[in-house]
Amino acid sequence: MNNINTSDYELLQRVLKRDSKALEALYDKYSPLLYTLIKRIVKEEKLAEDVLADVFVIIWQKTQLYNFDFKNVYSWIVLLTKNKAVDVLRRKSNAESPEYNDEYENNFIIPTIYDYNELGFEEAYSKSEQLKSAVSKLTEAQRYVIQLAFFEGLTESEIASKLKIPLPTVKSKIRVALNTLKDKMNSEES
Amino acid sequence: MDRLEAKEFLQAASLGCLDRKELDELRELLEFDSELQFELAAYQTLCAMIPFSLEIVNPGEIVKDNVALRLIKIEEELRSKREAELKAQMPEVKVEDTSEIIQEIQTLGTQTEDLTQELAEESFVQAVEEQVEIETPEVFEAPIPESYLAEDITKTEDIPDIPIEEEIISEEIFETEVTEPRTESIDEEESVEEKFEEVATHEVPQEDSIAQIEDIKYEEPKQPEVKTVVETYSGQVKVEHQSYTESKISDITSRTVAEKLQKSFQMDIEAIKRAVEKSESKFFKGIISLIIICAILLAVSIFLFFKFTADVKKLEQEIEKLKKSNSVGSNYETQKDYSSLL
Repeated sequence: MNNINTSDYELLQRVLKRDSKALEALYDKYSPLLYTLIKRIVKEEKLAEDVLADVFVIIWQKTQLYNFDFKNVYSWIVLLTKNKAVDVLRRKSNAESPEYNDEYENNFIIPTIYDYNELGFEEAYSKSEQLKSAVSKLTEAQRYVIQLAFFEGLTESEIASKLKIPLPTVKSKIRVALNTLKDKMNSEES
Repeated sequence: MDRLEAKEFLQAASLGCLDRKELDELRELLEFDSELQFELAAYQTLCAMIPFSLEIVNPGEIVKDNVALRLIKIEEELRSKREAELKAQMPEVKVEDTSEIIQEIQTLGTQTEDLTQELAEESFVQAVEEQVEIETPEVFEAPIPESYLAEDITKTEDIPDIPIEEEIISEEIFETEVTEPRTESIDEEESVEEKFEEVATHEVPQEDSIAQIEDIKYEEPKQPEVKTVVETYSGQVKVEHQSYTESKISDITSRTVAEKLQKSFQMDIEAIKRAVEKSESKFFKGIISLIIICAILLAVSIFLFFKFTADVKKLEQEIEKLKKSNSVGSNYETQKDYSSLL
């Protein structure tokens, strides 16, 4: 079967049936983007490689947790990777982290995606330029807040304590930043 | 948390920076609210696009190999787990004591040996009787029918199930020139006596007597396939199938020999196994008993050591007490003590 023209949704369905070739195809597609994301979060090359391997092991073992009613495989894989990398970073800095077991992984590492629209790597990549221009149009503060939340893995209260600003202010800043990004993306598309 | 409040948490939830308590509340609402799900999906897609704002770096080829190795390991672990589960589900097979069965096999083996001997004796007696019968002047040699020569008679598979003792009377009349019967100058009584003596002693018949019989019987008497045809005066030809009995006997004996060998091998192997097991158990028992003895000795020695040290200390204390009581200072002290009490 030609894996290049196969959609990510179909590949994930084949992974569910223990098709290692399908997982390899997903790896070939996603590994550069995921490795870049992980490296940005954990900031260590060797650790980033380990986390990337962990991510694909999770995909192999926990594909059944993906709701195949929704077809946004791209978001599922990227957010799973982000959650895993953030968890590794948190565990590295904080010794009092909750025990990492199957239950924890299912609840806090594997995301729940609610998108009925099919989105694969190719579609997402085609929108990457629009995103870049949209991000460049954000204010410095908005970008910083997104960076702290997405790449540093800080919660709203942690951002508030770090920036020494009230929690409602952080909440509003995050809300505004994402809404702006969404609007910019839509305007770029139109 | 109400619906409007939940909507304000969607951005933070998609970025993954929502606090645990708020995240749990939002999840409860999301389960049944498709509109909230739709809105969250839009933010999730947007957040998932953020990594494209970074400069993409390729991981090394080793990472792919590591992933492959890890997946292979996982699959192997899963397989071994499944196998272990299957083994746990399977009932345990208890090996019964086979000594009785081996004894039975041994007795059967001896019985079969006896039977083969008996059969050999019987066959030999029959052969002798037949040879004696042939020596009568009425016996003629007849050519062997083509039907018999064409096939290998020794093959027992092709022979129908006819009783060994049954005589087959063939209706076929052989057109042969029958010469007048000639009597050979053989002393029948002597030869018969010799044969029976030979049967009793289980010895091979003497060459001279066999040669005499052979001269009368066949041109090539050593071949078992040759059939002796007795032509009666009624015109019927009587064919006695010696080869049937011979072939069957030889077949039986060959089988028994093979079986005996097999059994003997099996018995030998089992005996060796048993001997090894016994020696192993003895060895382990010896080791265990040695360990126990050593432990007991050690415990006793420790006990004795402490006991003696305690006794020595007691004695030393007593000596010191005695010394003190005998010294002048002690008397003074005791006096002093008493005075204070008073």
